[in-house]
Amino acid sequence: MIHNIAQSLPPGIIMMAGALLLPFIGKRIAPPTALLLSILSLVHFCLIPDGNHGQIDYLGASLNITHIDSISRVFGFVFHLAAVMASIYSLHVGDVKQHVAAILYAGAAIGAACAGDLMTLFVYWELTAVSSVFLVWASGTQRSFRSGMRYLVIQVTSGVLLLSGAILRYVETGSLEFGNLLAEVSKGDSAFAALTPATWLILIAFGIKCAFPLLHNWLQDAYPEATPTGTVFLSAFTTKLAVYSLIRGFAGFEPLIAIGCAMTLFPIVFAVIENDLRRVLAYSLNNQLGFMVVGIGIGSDLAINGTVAHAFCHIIYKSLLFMSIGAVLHRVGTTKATELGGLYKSMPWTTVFCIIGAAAISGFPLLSGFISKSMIISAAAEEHQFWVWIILLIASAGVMEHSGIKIPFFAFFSHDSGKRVKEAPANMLVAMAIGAFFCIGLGVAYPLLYRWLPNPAIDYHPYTVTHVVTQMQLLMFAALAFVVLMKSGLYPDEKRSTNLDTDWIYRRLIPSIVGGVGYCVSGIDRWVRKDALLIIGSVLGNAKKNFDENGLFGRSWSTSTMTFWSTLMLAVYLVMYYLQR
Amino acid sequence: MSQNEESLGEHANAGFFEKPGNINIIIIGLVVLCVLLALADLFYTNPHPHFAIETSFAFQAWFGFAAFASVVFLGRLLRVFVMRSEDYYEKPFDEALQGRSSLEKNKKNRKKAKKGKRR
Repeated sequence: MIHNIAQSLPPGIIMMAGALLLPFIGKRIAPPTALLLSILSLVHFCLIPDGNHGQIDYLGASLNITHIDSISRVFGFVFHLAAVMASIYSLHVGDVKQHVAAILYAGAAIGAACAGDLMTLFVYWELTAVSSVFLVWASGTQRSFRSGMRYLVIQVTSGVLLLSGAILRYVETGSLEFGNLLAEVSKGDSAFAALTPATWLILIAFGIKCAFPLLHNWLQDAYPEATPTGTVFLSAFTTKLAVYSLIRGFAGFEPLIAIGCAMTLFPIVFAVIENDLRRVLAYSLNNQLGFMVVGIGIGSDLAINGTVAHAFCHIIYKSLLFMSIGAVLHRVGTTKATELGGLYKSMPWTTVFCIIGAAAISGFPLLSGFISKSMIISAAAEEHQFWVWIILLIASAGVMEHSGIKIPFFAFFSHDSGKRVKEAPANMLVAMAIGAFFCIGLGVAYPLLYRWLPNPAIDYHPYTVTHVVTQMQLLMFAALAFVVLMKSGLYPDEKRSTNLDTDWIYRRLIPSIVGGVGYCVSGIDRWVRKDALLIIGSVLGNAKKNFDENGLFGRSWSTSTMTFWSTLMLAVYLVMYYLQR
Repeated sequence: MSQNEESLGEHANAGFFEKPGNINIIIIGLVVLCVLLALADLFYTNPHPHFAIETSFAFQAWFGFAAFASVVFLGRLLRVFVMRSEDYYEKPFDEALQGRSSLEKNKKNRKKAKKGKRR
């Protein structure tokens, strides 16, 4: 009975419908209600069995609202977990519209992770875009408003591309089913032969949301502008929804390996010089997505398991990191490294949780990053992809740099900024404690997660002597490099600055080109009009000269002159007449 | 760590991580740990090396050090090309298009937003 009711409702619907009721219940009750909705939705999700539910025929196409398999099960679960953590984290927020946006957004992401067809996916895809932008706008600054507008335009563009791709796909295949979208490729053909026009569009749509290189900058632009609590929600859903979609649609698409490698590398260099710690975390997020995209590109059973496991662990430790830096923002009012430091005295618990998150993302043994990232790196090695393996190792050292050391060091240690604030509110600490618990729990009790992965037959053991020793060597020598560089003064100082990234293209280059073109057009226009006016003026002058009362054609003639000329003409006519005869 | 020494002077009750003695202990601990980890390579062999380089002595140790340092130096290099003043994107628009009033409004909004968060 309960199962039947659960089956008839799509996952996430409790959150989406409930979110719309939040404005009517008052700002005191709304935050706990948001949490309750997340928990109820989690229970509902656990009650829905695997398989297809809610098939409907619409305009001749058969839609499949809910499709739950092992991949969507893991993503749906961790999305719920992230929503519960973030809801606890934002219990103190009195601004109801933030709760509405956040819960609607989380619900839509959960729905999307269980969508069985491309059209349903599109609807949820756009809903995540439209709802999440309010978390950016909720900061209430001009800066966040502009950033949110850019975010919205880019996200909606991604949705439009997805819709166009879905329609084309229906024309091509007569089906909207969301499974592996790659066409069969004969041996010797390039990997791109697996893409049709429809799948190109869908891949670009996914690529925008997954922050592929050159399409990535909305992430670093918008996430740091959102409210402290909003960023925690944002960090969990949008990009991981794209990762989920790529796993389902493009697993084994080889060019993704190169794209993923680029994604792991370039953000770490930007993260080194970035001053805003939330922006550092955004670059770090981009780098972690790179690991997942590499895994999807490799496409082996181990790689897909690694990608799913990494997405699961990543959502939790990244939320934890954003929560700890969000707590700093909440108390201190800034996340700029130049203005922080020495906060471990005022915020000891936040410091501890941040260090746990930082160690987890770096991949220290006994923490969640170790048991998930290693699967992807091992998968690259198993496929004998030497350069991919090397790049992932460099990226691992880079993660240690920006997230493992930079974030905790500059926020909580470094030089004492002299700022003395209160510890984070209790609800924030509880949410961070849950995140930290999962980071450690997943690192220790990893078989619980491995059992859930899409290919349970894969037998992978992360805790081998080789693996633990080599990973510790990598991390500790990276830490040693940090100490050496700091001591020798070679480590770049934190500076108040803006670092240009691809957003410069649409924030400066294109506006200046458009401005330049406008200037030229107006110049030409001015010149043409000036000359045209001169010509018109001279024509008018001539006309005036000839047609005014003294002009050749305008002046009046006397009757005698007229008679004379008429008589003369008649005389000529008469002469001509006789000559003709 | 001259900054740490300065802060020691400013704040009589310097924290644990600001006392030079403690910092040195942490650094010595790290160095000892690194040496031990490198030496650990002598006591086991990788049963399934995928690449020849994996079998070289303490490969991931020196590789980690080199990768970290390269990333940092690349970052320094990148600064030359991409670093601009903090208000690079705001200045022309706010001041030229909307005048100073928008900046004041901005501050008010920020204050409001902060109040909202505290509530």
